[in-house]
Amino acid sequence: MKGLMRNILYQTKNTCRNTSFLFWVVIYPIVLAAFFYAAFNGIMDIELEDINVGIVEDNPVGFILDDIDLVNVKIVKEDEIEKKIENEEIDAFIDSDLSLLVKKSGIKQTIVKEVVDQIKQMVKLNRPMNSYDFSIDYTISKNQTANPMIIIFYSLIAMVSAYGLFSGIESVCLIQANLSNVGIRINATPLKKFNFLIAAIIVILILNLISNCLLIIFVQYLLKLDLLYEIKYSFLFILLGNLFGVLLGVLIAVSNKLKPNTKTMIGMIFLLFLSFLSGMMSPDIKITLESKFPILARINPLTIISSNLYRVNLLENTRFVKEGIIILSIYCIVLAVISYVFLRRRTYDSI
Amino acid sequence: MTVYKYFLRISLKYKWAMIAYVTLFFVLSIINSTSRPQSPSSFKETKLDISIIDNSNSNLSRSLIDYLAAKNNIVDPPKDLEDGKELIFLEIADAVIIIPEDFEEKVINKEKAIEVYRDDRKIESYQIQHQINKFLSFVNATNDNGDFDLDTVNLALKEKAEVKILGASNGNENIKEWFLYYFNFTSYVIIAVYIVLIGMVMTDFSEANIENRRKVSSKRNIDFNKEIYLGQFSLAAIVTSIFILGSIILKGKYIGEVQFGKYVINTIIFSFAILSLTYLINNITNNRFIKNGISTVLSLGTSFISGVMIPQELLGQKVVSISKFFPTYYFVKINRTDISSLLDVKYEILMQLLFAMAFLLTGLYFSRIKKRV
Amino acid sequence: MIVKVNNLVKRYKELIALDHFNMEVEEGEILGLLGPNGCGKTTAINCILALLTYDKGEIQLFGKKMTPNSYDIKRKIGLVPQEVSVFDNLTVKENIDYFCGLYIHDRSLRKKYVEEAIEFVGLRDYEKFYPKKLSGGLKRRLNIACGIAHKPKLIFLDEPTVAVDAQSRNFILNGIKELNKEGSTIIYTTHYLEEVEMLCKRIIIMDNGKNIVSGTKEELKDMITTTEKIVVSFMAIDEETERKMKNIPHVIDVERNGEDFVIKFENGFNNIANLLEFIKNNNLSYVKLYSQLPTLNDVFLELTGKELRD
Repeated sequence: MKGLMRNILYQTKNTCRNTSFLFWVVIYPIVLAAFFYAAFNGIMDIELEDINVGIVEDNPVGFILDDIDLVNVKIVKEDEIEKKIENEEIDAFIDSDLSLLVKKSGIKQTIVKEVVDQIKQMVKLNRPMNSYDFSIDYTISKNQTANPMIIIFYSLIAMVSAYGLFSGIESVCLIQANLSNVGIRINATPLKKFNFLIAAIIVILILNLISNCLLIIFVQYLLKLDLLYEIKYSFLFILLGNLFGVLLGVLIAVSNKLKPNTKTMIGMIFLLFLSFLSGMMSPDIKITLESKFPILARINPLTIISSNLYRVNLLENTRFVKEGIIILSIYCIVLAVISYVFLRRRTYDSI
Repeated sequence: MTVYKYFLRISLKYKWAMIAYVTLFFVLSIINSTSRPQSPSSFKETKLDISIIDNSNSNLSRSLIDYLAAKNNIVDPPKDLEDGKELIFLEIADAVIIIPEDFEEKVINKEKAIEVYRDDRKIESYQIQHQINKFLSFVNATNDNGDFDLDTVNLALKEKAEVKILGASNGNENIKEWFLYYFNFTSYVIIAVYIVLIGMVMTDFSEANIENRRKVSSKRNIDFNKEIYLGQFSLAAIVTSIFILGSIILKGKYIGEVQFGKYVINTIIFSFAILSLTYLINNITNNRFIKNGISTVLSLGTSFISGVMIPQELLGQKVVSISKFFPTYYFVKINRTDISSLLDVKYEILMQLLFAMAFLLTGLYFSRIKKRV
Repeated sequence: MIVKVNNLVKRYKELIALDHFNMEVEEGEILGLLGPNGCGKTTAINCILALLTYDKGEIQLFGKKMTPNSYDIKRKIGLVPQEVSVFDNLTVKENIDYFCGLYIHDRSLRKKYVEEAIEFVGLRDYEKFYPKKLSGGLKRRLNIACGIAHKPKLIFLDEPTVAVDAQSRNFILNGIKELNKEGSTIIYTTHYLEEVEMLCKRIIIMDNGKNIVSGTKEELKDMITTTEKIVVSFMAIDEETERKMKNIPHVIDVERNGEDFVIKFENGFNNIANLLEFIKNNNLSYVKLYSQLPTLNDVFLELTGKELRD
């Protein structure tokens, strides 16, 4: 036991003093989160002032349109209409019979269509203007969050929880005699490789968890996005994610004789692929993929983590938690067993 | 050209890692382009799947349901809100609506009358609230002492503006979108791949001992850098060609319908800018973790804020101004713009080239100061 | 004068690495640069090669001032650094070709040089091997080949035989002599004294970044007062006779080292004869008797109070 503690202490020192490691594990997730936040920040506050709409001089709806704040009315001549639409001086042209001429179906054009639709409908309804009150919101939104993109942050947390992967690869490479000089030393000592590895795993878990916590604190308090309501289960899933990541890293490192650089690359590819499938680039992808291959959602560990984070925190739904925990645990056990088998007998044909 | 020759030879030693990496991104690229649903900005109104619990059972509620049914798909109602949330999570429903018993009364009193539970993950789900509010506003406009003229409302709401789109016929929207998304995604790929792959080869060259030998040799700094840059350029050219070819292989027959030349030239210019960035990064650090980290951060981060994952039109103003400090913004802008000739986007092209120059010169500067410790 | 270093000073914040260091090397000679670990040998070389900046001093190579941009001078220099500096991902031949290519741009000439370099270091059988698969000695040979393939006129070798097997070491030393015979000037750093005794004509000894002494081997040995050492051991000797040994003419000191007696004599006298007479007179019979001329270690010890190899 004492040997284990000593091992843990020295490995911690070794890892923490490696500055690039600190960058990768601490700064990088926060920077990424900042980027995501920046991207999604202004997303629902589209500035709608500059939608330019063209009408001919004597269009009877002109005065209605003038009243609408969103829209900038410009008078155009008959022969200029097409030209002005082409060069985007006006986003749409409204004819006297309230039909629309546009160049493409972008957001602005859709908004103009909405406006014109409504005008036509109001005309058909034939009630005086003051009987309408559009300012009322009859709906009670039962969603807890106002930000539709919050799932991306859950995916981000899932991804960085698996970052123990890289440290796992590093640590194992350290003890592999054909890859590092320190490894040669260690293999010659009476120290059981296994103990070294356990110590390494514990250290990585702790450090990675700290990194995850930093990220969550950053998002929760600095970016002011409420992510975690249900701490118990959230933490459990993050922990399992960490364990999965480290063990996967160990397996990647232990199962072949490639250079450390290549192993890191394999790990990266794996992780990127899983994150991508779990919707980190855009929720659409996850949704579409899973409608075609629903099994994906249940076996992709990152999806399991991010989905469950979403469920327990926002939907307050803990029905699927057990399944998720079991699957993740199975992954971890399988990884550990296979790694152990690889580690057991290792003589090298060339060091 | 010794340095160039050996740069390539060392690259070959890493070929499996490179192939795996490029393949991964190629696969991601394909998945990305084919999984994109209709963008929310098309005129075809997206039909959502909604699930309604009607506790009011009044004329008004039925009328509302009819209206919503015309514009969306109605799915079986859930047992309760908890079940409803699960429906949403499983994406069986995009929104769950619960109409309370005192629905009519609340509407007349212009109070909040309906509970709506949306799928957070889909922007389109806002539509439902919009539709409900519009219906009820119209209904209230016809309020005559507690009576609603539901028939007129229904009739009125069927009115739609006719829309004519100038130029190319509608059928190409999908293809245009495909190419747009594919090439936008390529910018993400280019940044991620260049930095990592070229970084791998440069680790060998930048190792302290090897560098010392080089510094002591009679190879001029500028000649060495030229050959290294050429080597990086060769790698980069291969990667970019793969992705351009990819688009031809996947959707070759539609090339005539989109401005393919624009996409190709734009991609080449962008590649050049990112190559220079890679050159700069490799002159600043030799640590493979930092390089991998920067690769992911820059690629993902700038892609997000420059309109690769989310359309540029939807991004907030502040974000857009930040993203202008990186070439991806200009690349995406050109892709989005229909041009009659390259001169239309000369500003964006110029900006990307300026970035390329700036990165390159800064890289050279760092290379010079590394010469003496 | 092919190398002229004047008053070189280099500081690392508080630490003075080079303290007014001087060095002159004539064309065609082999200069040995000696000193204990950490005395500044590699620092001096790195400054001379313009790899490091320095605070004060002048460095001239081939009669011209040396700067990082002196490409014409660099063309004539070869460096064999202390650490094996080769590409792990290239074979032996590819490595030599690459580094030679940094100097020689003519392809056919370079091809010739590379072949000659491979022959010179005896790595013909290992041409296609990767450095990882080579033993320490062979790696060092590769390291040398990479530094001299372009046939430089001035070669810096920084401890080239560290951790090298005896066969390779001999090979390397003979090779260096060859290079010198073919006209290259050599600056050789080491702390193996046997090598210096074998190779170098002139020697500079440094410590703490300063010149301690310089001159030919003979000059250095003449500088010190310790002269002949005779080592003798007897079958049997009693204490009284032991004490009498100090009275042999011209004895400076008698030291006992286990069974052996190390007797230091003054310079220039027929010391062995005197000792033999003493032995005869005292009816001793010796098991071992030999004369040991002063070594560089003795020189160093006397001049700095330290062993050359601590």
